[in-house]
Amino acid sequence: MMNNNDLDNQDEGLVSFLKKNAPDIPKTSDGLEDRIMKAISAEESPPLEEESLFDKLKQFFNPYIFIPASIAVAALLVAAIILPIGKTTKDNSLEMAETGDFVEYVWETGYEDYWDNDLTAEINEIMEL
Amino acid sequence: MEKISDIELLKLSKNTNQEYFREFYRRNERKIRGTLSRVAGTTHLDDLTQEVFIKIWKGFAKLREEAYLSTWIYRLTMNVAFDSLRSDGEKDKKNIPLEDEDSVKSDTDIQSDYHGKDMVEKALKTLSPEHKAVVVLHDLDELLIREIGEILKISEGTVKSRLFHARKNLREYFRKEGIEL
Repeated sequence: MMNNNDLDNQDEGLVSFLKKNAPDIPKTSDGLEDRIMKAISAEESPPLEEESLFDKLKQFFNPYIFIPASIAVAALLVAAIILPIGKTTKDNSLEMAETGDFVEYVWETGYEDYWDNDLTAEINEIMEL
Repeated sequence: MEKISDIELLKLSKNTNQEYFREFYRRNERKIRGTLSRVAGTTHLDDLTQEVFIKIWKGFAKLREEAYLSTWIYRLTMNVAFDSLRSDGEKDKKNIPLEDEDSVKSDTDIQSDYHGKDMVEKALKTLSPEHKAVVVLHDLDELLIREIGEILKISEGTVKSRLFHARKNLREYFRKEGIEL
């Protein structure tokens, strides 16, 4: 386990001296082992647990998993929610314009946010037909 | 029981019989006492040893990375040692300049101190707890720089820097004591 790479040449003598003269470990007192066993018997110790939901969540929130997953979910949300809404609005608008109900619909529902020049032009064109 | 790993011993002691913990204690007691005595001194060694083993007993169930058992035990040991140094006020002793320590010793004292083990023990006491920890873990316990970084929660660069300064201080101490290393 000794990693000589960590040693400069000038340190070899010092480290060797330290090892050779390392302070002795004092003899263990009689009864310490029993004292510790008695102490742990009195101590409450939580039981070993299987991997909890929190651990699984923590694993999920690992940046290497969580960030790509978040981007993927965000992209799916854009695709699933924003795009169909835009398409439906325009399709419905034109359909209603064709039937003559659109202006009334906009008037009643305050749908004017969706009113723009292109749509106006398209509706006028249809109405002139 | 010899073939059972430390981690298994701890699990068995929780689930079946606490006597497995006794075996765990017997296997690891010397290593833990050694580190504790070199970092925190020997004054409260039994109490500190007991404290480490109780922390192992209480905290083992929360250990998620079983591969890090050894690192975790070292970390507990170092924390207990540092706490002890703090409470003993030994931390302040590191600020005593070497010259001051020398000035209170007579030549006779110095000569009688020239036993290697005493000298090393005294030299270690002149180091700050942080410097002492890296010297003990690296030069005496022979751990890798990376492992020491994990134990002390510091970068490998910081470990190397502390080791460099600690060795420099030790060399200076021994030089003042008449030993060139």
